[in-house]
Amino acid sequence: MAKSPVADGLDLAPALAGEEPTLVRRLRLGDADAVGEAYDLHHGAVRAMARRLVGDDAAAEDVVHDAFLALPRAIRRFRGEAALRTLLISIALNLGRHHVRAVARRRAALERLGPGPAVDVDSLESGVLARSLWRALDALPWRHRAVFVLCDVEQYQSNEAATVLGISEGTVRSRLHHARRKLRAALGEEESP
Amino acid sequence: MSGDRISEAVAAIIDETRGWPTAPHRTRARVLTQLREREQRGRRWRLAALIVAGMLCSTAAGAALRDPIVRTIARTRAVVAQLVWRAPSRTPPVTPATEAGGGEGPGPRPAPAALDRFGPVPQIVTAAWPGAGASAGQSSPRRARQALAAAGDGALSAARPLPPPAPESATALSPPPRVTDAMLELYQTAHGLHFGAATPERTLAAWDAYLRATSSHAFVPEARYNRTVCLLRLGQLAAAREALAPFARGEVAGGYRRREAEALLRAIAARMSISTVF
Repeated sequence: MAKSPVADGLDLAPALAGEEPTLVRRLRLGDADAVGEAYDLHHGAVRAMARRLVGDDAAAEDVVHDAFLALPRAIRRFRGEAALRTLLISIALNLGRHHVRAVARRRAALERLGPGPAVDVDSLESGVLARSLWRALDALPWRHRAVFVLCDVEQYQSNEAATVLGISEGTVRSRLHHARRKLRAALGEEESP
Repeated sequence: MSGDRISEAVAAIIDETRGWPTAPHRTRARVLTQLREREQRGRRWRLAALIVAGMLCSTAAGAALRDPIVRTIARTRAVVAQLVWRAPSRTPPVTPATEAGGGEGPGPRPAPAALDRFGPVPQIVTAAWPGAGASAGQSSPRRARQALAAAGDGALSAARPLPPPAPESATALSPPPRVTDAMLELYQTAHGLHFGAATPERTLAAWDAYLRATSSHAFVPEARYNRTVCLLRLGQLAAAREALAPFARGEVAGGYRRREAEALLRAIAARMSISTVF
């Protein structure tokens, strides 16, 4: 089971899980207020995943915005086999794919200019590690990056990640293995010199 | 690089992305505003599409209704034209001369009952009509088949004689007389000569040719009357008087040109008496 990614802030989703079918029905009817309620329930999880996927707050906010904006249309194809949160994460993941490239280019450009004041880390060591991982993630293919973020950062189990990504569990495990290997190599290369 | 190093890096990323960098309610408001705007746009588009669809439907329905009406009008006009131009026992057509009030054209149209006196249907017409051969005493193959079917197989095995066909009225069986194109051409030629600048001799010959071709056509009374006018123009008063006599007696088409014929006969009589005196 996925750990609730909302560490801080009130996560209402578990408390209101029984009302999800009603909410889905209202969403299918095009009720804008239902989108608001879905946002209140799931924005934390979607935002956290988006931030950890793209590594940029502004881009993550755009992903959240676009994901909830796309929800009324996506819900028409939603068969109810998964949770609404899974659907939203899936939407955000697909939307984040388009943001990742731009964010990676921006990050690379900023790092060429040197560390700026935007780096807000408590400790230098943690900041260095985070930047190294972002760089390594930017170098990963999308399919590996998505699996790594879902499984190792968001702590989704392989079956849940498979549902979100629409692939088989074996493929998830395989991609995760390749992602870890590449990241290990990338981070090792960074430390070696 | 160990797996723990990756875990440390992941923990660093999680720490870095902890908390709300922006106010979530702003994004919420932005999402809802855009959704409502999209809904309004969609409603407007749906309304516009509905209006366009309604216009298209009304246009299509109008066209669908108009076409049969136009076809019906055209068919009715064709039928009326056929009746007017082809049926000798119907109303004679209105010629330009009669519309213009010409004295020699057909006058007041005879009543339909009076038009039945035009004469018998030409033989050529009854022979040409497919159903005309099946007169009262004969049974057509189709009618025989219908009778056999009505009697059933038992009737066939008993070999009973077929019942005679129900007598049908002559009007039901007799087809409308057919007017050939040659007749119409003769009439049109004579009419053109009569109201044109042709000599009375040519006009008289043309009317004679038409009257030789038919004796029951709808324009026969008019042709006979116009022929007498030609005779008068040629000075053949005796022949004209003889030709006008049936008109004056009201024997032609129920009194067609009766008054004019009487007047002409009076004038002829006066002229002949004068010529006799002098």
